[in-house]
Amino acid sequence: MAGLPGSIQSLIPAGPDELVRRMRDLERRMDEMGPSVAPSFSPVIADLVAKQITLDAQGVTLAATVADLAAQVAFLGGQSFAYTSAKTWYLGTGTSGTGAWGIQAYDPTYDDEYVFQASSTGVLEITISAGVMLNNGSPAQGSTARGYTLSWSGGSLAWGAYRSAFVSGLACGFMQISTSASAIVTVPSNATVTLQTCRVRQSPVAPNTTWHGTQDTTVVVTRIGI
Amino acid sequence: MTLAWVATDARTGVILADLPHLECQSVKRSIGRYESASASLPLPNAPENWQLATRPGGANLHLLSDGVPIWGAMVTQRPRDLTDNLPLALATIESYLDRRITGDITYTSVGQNDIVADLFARFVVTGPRGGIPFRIQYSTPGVGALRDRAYLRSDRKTVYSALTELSAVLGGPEWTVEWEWQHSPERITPVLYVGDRVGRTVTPGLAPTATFQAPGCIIAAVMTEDYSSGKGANSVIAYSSAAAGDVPTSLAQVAPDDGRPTFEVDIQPSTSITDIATLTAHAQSALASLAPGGSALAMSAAVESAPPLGVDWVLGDDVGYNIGGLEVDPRRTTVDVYADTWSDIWSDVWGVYTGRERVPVNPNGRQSIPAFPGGISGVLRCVGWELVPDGVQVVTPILASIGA
Repeated sequence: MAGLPGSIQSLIPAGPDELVRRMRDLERRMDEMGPSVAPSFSPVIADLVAKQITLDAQGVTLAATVADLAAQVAFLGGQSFAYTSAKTWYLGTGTSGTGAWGIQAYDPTYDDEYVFQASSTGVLEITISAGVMLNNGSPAQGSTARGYTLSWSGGSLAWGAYRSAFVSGLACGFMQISTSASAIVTVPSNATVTLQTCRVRQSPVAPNTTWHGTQDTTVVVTRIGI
Repeated sequence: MTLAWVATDARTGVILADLPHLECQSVKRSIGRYESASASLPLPNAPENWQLATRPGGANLHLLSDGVPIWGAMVTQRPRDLTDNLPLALATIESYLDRRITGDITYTSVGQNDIVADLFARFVVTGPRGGIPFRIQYSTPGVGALRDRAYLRSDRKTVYSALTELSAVLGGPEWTVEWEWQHSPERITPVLYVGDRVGRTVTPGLAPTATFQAPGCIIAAVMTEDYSSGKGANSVIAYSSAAAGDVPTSLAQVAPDDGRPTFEVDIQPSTSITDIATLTAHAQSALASLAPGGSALAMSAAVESAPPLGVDWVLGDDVGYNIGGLEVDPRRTTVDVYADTWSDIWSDVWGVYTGRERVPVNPNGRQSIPAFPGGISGVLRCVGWELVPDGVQVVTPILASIGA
């Protein structure tokens, strides 16, 4: 070593080999510098490796999410936020006491339908209505349908009224709608039940303005007794 | 002083050949470091086994003074050409220490001499293909100051680097390599001297065993006072590069005011020091030497008239010097002197000077060497020497004041 400043070696005047000596000193210093500097970088490198691992994992998640979104987009594009199929209402057959006409048991099941309202709030309106025309539209009541109060769980439902179930945060997928209602209408013995409807439809989602999937089913009400 | 060259086997020290015709311009030695030299072997007069005796890495060449080895070096290069001369590049055996790497070893509160000895035992004397058969000799009693050191093979620190770092700390060990002749079989092997100091201290009240004088045996002298970068400073910081995310650094060590402005130097004694106290000791040691500035005195003397190297003085000894001063001035001049009134009148009238005489120009003497008015003398450490073995043999001790 040409000499660390202040060392004995540094007191020796430079000789003809001074440059060679200094070069060797530099080589030695460089040889030793690497291993000693490396520990200084190890926390940085460890942090970078950890971040890289996290990023890799996030990349995998993102890729999966992108793939899922792509599938959903493709799916949604084909669905257009609408019911894709119509199902038949299954109406239960009610029984009633003597002399009573009307819907006694009403148990429509509307299932396995798609409800597509991703991240939106919509109104799933289920309207159950029963109309009763008396005397076949005879002058006494005319042909005007009369409304009768329908029995509804949780309360009564006026004629023409409806109960709406508000659902929010709907995700894509299947939703089973199950409704039940019963109505007991006491009518004169000569009355004729002419119309009953049950409706299920989905509220429009902006910018759409059209209700989707409206399904009205005529309920056949059977006279079950006089 | 009769000089002779021999070649020995590097690994065993066994003598391979005499090289009476080896030519070498100069050889040099210094405390705590290696020196290089070049030599030339005339092949027509070379021994039969000259290839073995000059094998790079496998042979050492020794300079004997009256049969005593005073210098030895390993052959490092042997460029052959079409001429009859075989040039050889040599490096003193300390250079071998720069070719051996320290392994994994930790010393806690271990004497610094013991540390050096153990490093040699582990990483110099032995090796996968053997080592160099160093004998370790403590030059001062005891194991030396207790030190903490940790070496790792992954640090790629050579033994030479480890010794350089250790010796640079305040109170660190001095070390040098001498040679000894052993018998049965005849061989020359190195001896590492390590201790608080190497060489002999002059006894207070007595003159050193060797003193170089001018006028006298000295034929040339250069005294270099140096406050250039790396040679002089009065504020020193030592630092390292070892700790992760941090640079271990000592506090600034500042010398007393001597009229100079601030000269700062930051030194990196090693790349693996993490202990601040160790760095501070390095800074203090460097400051002690740097504060007064470098001062080296190189005196060349004819070997035949100089104190004999290897006998009166060796590397590390306190050596005396005496340069310049007043000497008798032989020059004289004629001056009028008062004789008596008659003589004065006589000389005034007749022009005959009877009252004149020759007197010394400088009755008190003259400066023998004008560059050193009043002369300089004292005692300094011999930190190195150079010898011209061919032709007119000249030896040049290099003396310096060691502050630490």
